[in-house]
Amino acid sequence: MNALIVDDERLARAELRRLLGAHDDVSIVGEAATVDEAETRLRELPVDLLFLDIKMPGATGFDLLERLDRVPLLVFTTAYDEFALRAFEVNACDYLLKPIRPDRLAAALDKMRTLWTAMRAAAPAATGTRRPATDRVFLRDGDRCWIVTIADIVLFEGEGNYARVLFGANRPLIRTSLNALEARLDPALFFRASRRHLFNLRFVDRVDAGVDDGYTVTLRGGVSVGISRRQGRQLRERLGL
Amino acid sequence: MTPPAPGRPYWICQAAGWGGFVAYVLGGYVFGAPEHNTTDIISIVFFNAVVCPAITHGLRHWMYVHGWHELSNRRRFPRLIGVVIGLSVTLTAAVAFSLMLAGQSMMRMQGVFGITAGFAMAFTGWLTIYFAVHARRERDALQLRLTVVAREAQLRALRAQLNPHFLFNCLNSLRHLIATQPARAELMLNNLAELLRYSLNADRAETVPLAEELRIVDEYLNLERVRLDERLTVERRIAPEAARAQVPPMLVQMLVENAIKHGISELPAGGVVRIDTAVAPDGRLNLLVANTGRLGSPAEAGGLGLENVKGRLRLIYGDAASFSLSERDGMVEARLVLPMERP
Repeated sequence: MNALIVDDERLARAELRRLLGAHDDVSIVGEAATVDEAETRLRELPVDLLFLDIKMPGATGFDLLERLDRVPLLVFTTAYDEFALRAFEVNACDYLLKPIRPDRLAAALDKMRTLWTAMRAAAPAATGTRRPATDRVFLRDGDRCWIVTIADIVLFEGEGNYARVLFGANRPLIRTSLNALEARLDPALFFRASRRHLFNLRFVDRVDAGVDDGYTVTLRGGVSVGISRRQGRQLRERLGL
Repeated sequence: MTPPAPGRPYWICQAAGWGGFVAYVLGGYVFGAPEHNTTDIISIVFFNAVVCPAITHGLRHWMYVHGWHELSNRRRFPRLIGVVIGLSVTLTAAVAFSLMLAGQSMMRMQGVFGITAGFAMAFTGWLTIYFAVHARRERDALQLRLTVVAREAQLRALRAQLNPHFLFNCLNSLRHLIATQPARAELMLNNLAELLRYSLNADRAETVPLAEELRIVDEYLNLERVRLDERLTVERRIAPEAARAQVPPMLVQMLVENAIKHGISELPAGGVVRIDTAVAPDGRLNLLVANTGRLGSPAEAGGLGLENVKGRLRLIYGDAASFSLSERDGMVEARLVLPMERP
């Protein structure tokens, strides 16, 4: 696994590098002291695993994640912000408290290896600039944050320049337009049903004849979306595949 | 419980109360009784100006010994009724007996009732005034104790604590240095130990000499230098006469910590922290902690830390100290003006 270490303190980076020396399957491809540096490194380098400090000059680790198209395997390293991290789903990432204990690092790496294997097994070939469904994205709405696999997203609902994202029991509002999302997502998975709706074909439960010559699509989880006759025909073709 | 020595208000009340009562009874006797004699007058003065004050003074002692002052009103009230009846009847009997000894005729029943009622009224009045004053003084004393306790609690709550973020980052650096540069780790450990000790002892004294506070600021800055490398530059100008000033512990430390936390560590290229102390012509200590950077939004600039500084200054110095935060020439300046001595 190719790892990137992001921390504003030189000694903290050096310490993590030293501790990672004991793990042969992790190779450190770079270090960054600021969020900007980290963003550049992540574009240039093939990073599988990110060690990320939360408090950094001028910005936080969360700000970095928000700027990324895809979130690599993620281990937060923090002196005292673990409260902010408890909100994350346990399987999405891990966190290490400083000073870092070698046994905790080993356990975090075990977890990352498992995640990595699963992700690689599921990953299809990337299609151009479109995002594979196995990619993970970071979503933030106010104080709450999520790391979610694209394939797990049920529906995007446009609200002007914002979009509400439905997955599991969550519905955060993110600052991206539906058009921008459609351009980046795999059309084999996400279907633009109307001006306001973009949903995951894998979550389609039922299609019924609706009002005004259109159809009503019911998604797993109980959400219904109305679509036109023309879109309905397209949807049938896509599901017929 | 041994009774406390009675204060001035007690003696004034005793004198005025019984004096007034003697005047009232004598007046009643002179203008109301059909015939007068010296024995009656001596008896009235003796019982009301000597016996009654002595009895109530003894009663005060007795009530202290038996803990009546601590009783609830509901439990005390029946006891006081008993005291009033008992004392009035006993005294009336004593008056009657003494008049009989003096060769006076047996008093008529009406007179006996009158004397008993008079004594009862006097003791009821005395006890009412006594316990009213007592309750009021208790309340004032409690109020005072509460004020003192509240102030101490406020000061303790405002006492600057070491920032846990800083502490754990230090320990993380230390872990690395132990393995790679043990000599540097030893120095760092000493800095950290000094700072921790000072911070843990900070609520032992309300103020400490500025020189001592600055020594700890140095330990702290040494630790921050390990963390921030070349990003941190420190400039100090300490006037020798300022060093003997008294300052609240951890106050300057907190300002320097804020300068680094909100200033230097937010700047990827780092910057300067300047500590400047002088004694102003008015004899007060002027202290400046400045850092490269910009003052953020008022909410950010106010921050919990600075509210804390203001709160502590108000509690310790009242209006005699002041604190301000401003931005000038790319530097954020925290200015503190304090009396040289603890108030």
